[in-house]
This record gives sequence, C-alpha cells and structure tokens, in this order.
Amino acid sequence: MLQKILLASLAVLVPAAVGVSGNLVAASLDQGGQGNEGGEVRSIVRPGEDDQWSIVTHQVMGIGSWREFSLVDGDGLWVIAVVNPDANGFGSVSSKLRRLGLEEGVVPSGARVTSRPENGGETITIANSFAQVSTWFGPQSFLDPGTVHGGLQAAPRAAEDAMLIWRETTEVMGITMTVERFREQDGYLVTDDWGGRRIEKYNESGLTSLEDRNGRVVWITRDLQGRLCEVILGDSNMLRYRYQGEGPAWRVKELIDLRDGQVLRRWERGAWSGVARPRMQVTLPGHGMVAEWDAVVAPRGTVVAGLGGRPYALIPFDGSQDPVRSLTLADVSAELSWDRIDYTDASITLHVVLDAGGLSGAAERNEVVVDLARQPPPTETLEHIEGTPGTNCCSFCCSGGGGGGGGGASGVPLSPTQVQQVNAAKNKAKNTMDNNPDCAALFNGLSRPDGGNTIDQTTYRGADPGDTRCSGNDAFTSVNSLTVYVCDGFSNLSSNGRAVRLIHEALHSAGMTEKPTYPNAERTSAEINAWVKSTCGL
Amino acid sequence: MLFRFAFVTLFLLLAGVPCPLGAQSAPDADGCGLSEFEAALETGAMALSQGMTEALHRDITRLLASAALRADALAASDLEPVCALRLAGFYYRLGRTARSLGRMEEAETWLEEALARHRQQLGDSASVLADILDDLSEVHYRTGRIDEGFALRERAYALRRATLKPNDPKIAKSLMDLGAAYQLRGELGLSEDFYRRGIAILERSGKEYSQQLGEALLVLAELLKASGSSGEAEQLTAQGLKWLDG
Repeated sequence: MLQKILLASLAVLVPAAVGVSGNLVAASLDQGGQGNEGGEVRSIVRPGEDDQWSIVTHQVMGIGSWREFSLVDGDGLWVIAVVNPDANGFGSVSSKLRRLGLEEGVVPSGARVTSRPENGGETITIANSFAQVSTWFGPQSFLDPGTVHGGLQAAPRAAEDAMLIWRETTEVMGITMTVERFREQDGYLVTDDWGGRRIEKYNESGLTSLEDRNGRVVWITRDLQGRLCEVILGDSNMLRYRYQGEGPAWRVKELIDLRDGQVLRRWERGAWSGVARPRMQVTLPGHGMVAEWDAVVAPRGTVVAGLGGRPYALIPFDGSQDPVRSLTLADVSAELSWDRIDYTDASITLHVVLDAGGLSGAAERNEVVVDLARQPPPTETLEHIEGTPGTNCCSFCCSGGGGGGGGGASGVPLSPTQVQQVNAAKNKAKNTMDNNPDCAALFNGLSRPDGGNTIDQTTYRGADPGDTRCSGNDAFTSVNSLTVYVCDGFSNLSSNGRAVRLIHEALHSAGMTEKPTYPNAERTSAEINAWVKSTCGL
Repeated sequence: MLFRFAFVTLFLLLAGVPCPLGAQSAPDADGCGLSEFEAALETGAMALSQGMTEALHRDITRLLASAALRADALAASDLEPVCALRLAGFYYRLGRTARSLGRMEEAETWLEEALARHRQQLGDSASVLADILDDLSEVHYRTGRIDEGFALRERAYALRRATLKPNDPKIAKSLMDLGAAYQLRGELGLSEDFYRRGIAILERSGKEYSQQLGEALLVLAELLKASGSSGEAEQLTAQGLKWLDG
C-alpha cells in the first residue's frame, strides 16, 4: 500500500539575522495538501525570555497530512512532536529535541493510538513516551476544510454563532497546552489555555489575516488569481512575491523591512512554465525517486519553510547556524520512510527507516544513511525565462479604486499619448507642490521629503496590457520604488486627475503605505486620492 | 460617484435585455438598435474619467461583451447606410473602450473593423479614419509594435493634412503625437519642432481648445526642462497652467 507521507519543514526566523527586534520573529507559509502554491500561515513564533518556553508552532494538518507541536526557548532549543497519521487517520509520533545548529537528537518513539467517541464527535489520542496529542473532532469538523484537511484553503462554512468544532490537548515533556477552535462567521477563533487567542479570517482564496492579542500577526494579500502577493509579518517584515506571467510559481521573493523599505533578503529562482519545474531529486536504488524539491534552495543561511511538502520559503536566520534541514515529499512504499533529508552544497544525506512500524509502534526500525548525489532535472522539461525582472505583485500601491493584483511584469515604454499625459501631469503636480506649501507638506516625514524631486527621479512606464493591477487602478507602484506603471485608464482622467495620481504614486515612492495592503497605513487608495485632491486643490 | 451611479443604473437596465439581440429585435428610436449601448458606453467613459475601480472595470468589461454581441448581430444583417455608418462608429467606440481597459487584442480587432467599415461607407479620404488610425497606433505602441505605431501616426497626420484645413486642431493633435513619438525615439530636436507647430495651431484655435493648449505647453516645458532650457520652460509652464485653470 502506498502511503503518502507529507512532511514539511520548519520555518524559523531568528530576529538577529535580519536586524529585526519586533515581536514577531517567525512565520512560515504552507498550505498542507499538495502542490499548488498558495499560503497558509502555519507557524507563529514569539520568542520566550531566557529559560522560558514559548509555543512556537501548533499545527493541525489533519488526516493524510501531519501535525506538529513545537516549543522553543529563548536560546533556540526546539522540542518538536511530529505526528504522521496514515491514511486511516492513525499513525506514529516521532519527537525530536533539537537545538538549531548545535545538536539534534531523535527521541525514540513508540506510538500508541486510541480512539473513542465523545460529545457527538471523536477523540483520537496519539502518544508515545515523550509526547501525547489528544484531539477531539466535533461532529461537524470533518465537514470543515479548515479544520480537518488542514489546507485552510477554503472559507469556513458560515455560522451565526461561534461553534466549537475542534479541541486538542498536547503534552510534551510535561508541558501541556489545550487549543480550541471555534468556527465563526468569516473565520476561526482559536484559543488556548496559555492565554493565547488568535483570529483567522478567510476569503474565497484562503487565509487573509491572523490576529492575536498582540495585534495583527499576519496579513496576506493575493492577486486576482489567488496567488500570494504580500505576507506582512508583524510590524516590521514583509515577504513580497513576484511572478512571471500567469503561472502560479513565484519568481522573485523579497523579505523587506517595512520600517525603512530595505530589502533584507532576495531570492530568485528560474521561472518555468506548465508543471515542469526545476527540481532536485533523490533516487534510492530499488525505490526510484523518493524525494524532490525545487533546485534553487540555498543550502546555508536560511531555513526552508515547507509548502505542500516541498521547500518553499527561504527564511534567513543567523548565518552561523548550521545546515538547512529540508523534509520533502515523495510517494514511498509502506516499508520505506525516513526521518529527514539533510543537504549541503556537497551532498545529500537521506536518513531512511525501513519497515517502520506505523500503528503498533512495535516494528523494528532500521535506520540507513545513504549519501546520494544530486540529480539535475531533465533540461528539456524546463523553460527558463531570463532577463525580465518581475514587478512586485500586490506590493504595489495604486491610485484608483485600489486593490487588485496580478502577475509580475516589467512594463512597456509609454505610448506617445501617455508621454504627453504623464509629462503634463508631472509638470502640473510639481508646480502645484511648489506653489502650495500644504501640498508639498504631504511628503513631510517620508523618506523622500521633496515631492517634486521624487517625481523628477521617477521612471514612468506603461503597465503591461492586461496587467490585472490595472483592473482597479489608473497607475501603480511599490512602496519606495521609483518606477511607476501607468495604466490605460490613466488616459481617461482629467488633467487634474492625472496630477493627483502622480502625487499619489510619488507619496508611495517616498515611503507612504496604503491600506489594505499595509494594515497599519493611515489611508486607503481612494482616501489618498481625496486627500491629495483636497490638500493640493486639484 | 454620479457617473458611477448612472453607469450602474444603465448597465443594469441593459443587463435585463435578452442577449444577444439580433437585428430582428425591435429597433430603437433611431432605427439602428444601438442607442442604448452607445449611451451606456458613453456613461461608462464618463465614469472612467473619475478613476478606475475594480467594479467599474468588471462592469464595463461585461458591457463590452454584450455590446459586441449586439454589434456582431447587426453586422450580419443588411443595414441601411445610416445604420451601417452608425455601426462603424459603434465599433470604434468599442475599440476605444477596450483600449481604456487594457484589452488590446479586442481593441485592435474592433478598431480594424471600424476602419474597414468607415472606409466602406466614406471612402479612403475621410478624416475620421485618422482618428481611428491614432487609436490603432496607440494599441500598437502599447503592445510593443513601436515602428508600426509610428507609421500609423504618420498616416493619420498625412490624412489630416490632406483632408483638413491647415490650422485644424486635429492637425495640432497629430503634431503633438508625432512630437511625443520623436521624443520617445530620443530625437528631441524634431520632437520640439513638432510640439511647437502643434502649439502654434492650438493657440489660434479658440477657447474650446484651452485644455489641449495648456497641456501641450506643459509637455513642451517638460521637454525643454530636460534639455536644460529651464528659463523658457518656466514661462511655458506658467502659460500652460493659466490655460488649464482658465
């Protein structure tokens, strides 16, 4: 019987690595399930004080997937309980004690699984000597994609009142936490008995925001295709995605410090078309290919966040830390499993467990370490697209109705009509600021306080025809970017309207953010337009 | 907001009409069956002048689809000359609207259709053809076919020179467009020359062209500023703003 084991890797972001001192220090994106890129925030890490434990991860991925419960101390010591249920919802527990970059040990597991009906639902307990996870699934929880199948891909079913649909108590090393999940009108309320509380909200594309007592922890924007555009993490960090064309895979990803707009890390990977992606593959004699992941995965200096079982987000941590661990996805036979795959620049090591026990936990475990060479993917399946850096996805701010999103693009030169309209609008906008101190003062406190100079330094380009960002906007740019993309709708505006849009975009170029992309921003796009119009008298 | 409301109202009215409407449908007041869509597209254009929104984009896209079905149904029937000309103009409006939405493929299709139908009805020397050529040129530029776009702009200019009086404001438009085209090519001397000639015509064109004149002066001012002639640029800017505000 084939057993599909989905293992995803951990995501850790250590604040020192990126010069971040905010509350939030880690988050990862994942969606469980398989394949499609999308996003669910899986891990929220808040560091504890020295010698104190903090819950860093509490995840329920449901049947056919995996669960993980993790604790971390202020020194980076991790205790992780990983449950790998089989197709019937039962499985084994493997627990690990890990200190990142220092040592790692696998605590022997002897899983026992029990199941009993309770309060109209069912409680399943999986335990070994190290950890115990006891989960009550409410009567309706199996109908709820967000609860059971773990992908959290779909909006929850509407409920007028909060309904308890799931409860899980996890005990690791004598530390216990109980988490309850309630379904509400537009999302889930998750509370725990450590005082934790978070609200997860969804729309038809998936998770949109996650808030806890400390405020908004994660805010996700997607484009009209449902692709991730920006994931704002806490107060100070943002992951920004760029895409090539209409494909689902991101091409460029940047970690940005929102406070000064600096790109802290930037990752690129070869673009591809269709389903053929550059992959690293591991083949085990007698078993064929047992693991694969995207080729562009830096082996050092980052931790790989899993996505659908594949390495996904590369999140930096202290460069002195040792190797990236990447647990990956493969179809393997029931008698073959593994704990982990380690890889460096030089080699890949696959830790294989033969004849793993599964339900009884009594089966003999034989661990084999196999060193394997990397196998590049067949080149004929790849279509690399070179030399056209994508623009930011939804990390743009727009003058128009706001919102929207779309594929990456580099824009096209302005047309003659646009040249005239943009140049006239530039002139008018700059003169308005020169002659109206209130208008010029809009830029006070921004990183580029001279609005006229900002406009002069800006490159204006035509948006790619069909760019979905133009569906709701007349122009768009990214915060702190000196490139502005002009949409075809710009031509419909009046002379004053165009000047307003250019000042609007210049404000973003100077660092001003905009709701809802930046939840802490003061104004929406429409509000910025109205503000500029009234202040500048345009 | 008013435009938006008006557009939505009109759109909803149209949405209630069985679609597609063939030529056998009851003709409207002018007998061609296009009035309501023409009005809706006009209202949509006014709404767009207030700024693009997702809802507006979606609504107008849907309206375009309905309007195109109407146009194609009419196109398949025998039309009186007056309606054939109206239909040609209707395709032109469809093309312009599609271009406003960034739907360049449809825009090109409909503009080509408009060009062919106008030629059929009016011959090869109608000045309205130049308007369509301008829009087609814009589509070419926006889709990266710059040389073809430039050639269309030149054709439009030649056609206007051949069919209009020398001081017609439409000729000024062609001159300004060519000035911008040369500016894009980096031929700034030629660009300035065309701009100045266009402005000279607009200056003699009366108050109804004050907005075009104001913008043209600002365009030239920006060009001169970039070339280092900041003194004249400031003068032109002051003049341009005066015309725009006046």
